[in-house]
Amino acid sequence: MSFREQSGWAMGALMLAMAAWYFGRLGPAAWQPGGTLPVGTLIAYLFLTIAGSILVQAVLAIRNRGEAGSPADEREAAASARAVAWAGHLLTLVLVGALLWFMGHGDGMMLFHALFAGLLASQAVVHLGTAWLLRRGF
Amino acid sequence: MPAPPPIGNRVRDLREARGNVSQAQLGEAIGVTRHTIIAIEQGKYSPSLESAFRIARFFGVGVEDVFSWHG
Repeated sequence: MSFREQSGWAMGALMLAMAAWYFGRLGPAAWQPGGTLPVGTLIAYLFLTIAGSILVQAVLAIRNRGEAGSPADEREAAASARAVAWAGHLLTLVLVGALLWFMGHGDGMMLFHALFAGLLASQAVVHLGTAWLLRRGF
Repeated sequence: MPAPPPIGNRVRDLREARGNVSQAQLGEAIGVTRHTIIAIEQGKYSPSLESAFRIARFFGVGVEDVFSWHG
């Protein structure tokens, strides 16, 4: 398995795990209209995700010394570009859905959660989609 | 699994005919990773036109001696 495929699976798994952690930590008050923004949880999420990403990339780079430092080749770049396009479509769908929800309910807190979930999901799609395309072929 | 692209190739045969050039050596010569050479040989990836020419040039043959269209 190539370095970039390993990186895609590992980073995708990290993104999903961190998203589950973040949404699992939100209390009921965070889901109510007019509820408080979970700033502490948000900052902890960002810090842990950045630290986890550095750790994952460092471990993979040590295990794949030769490949890790070289730029993506044409197949890897094409797989990544396709996955980024999928993530863009997903983000657009979530954005439109969240804005329609906001127009109907005026629920700013839910708008925030939906957009944040969309961002997390799109990041996971970029990483997992790239790994899946490199594994499956295209 | 998606249908493989209708493009066949003789990269593995040519590597073996050239004294077992490794996938890593071929990849390095044309500017792609060993994994991309493996994907090309398995028909999971069709290389760019530039890489196709580079592969043919590496073996000293024409592009159509390496790649064939089965569509």
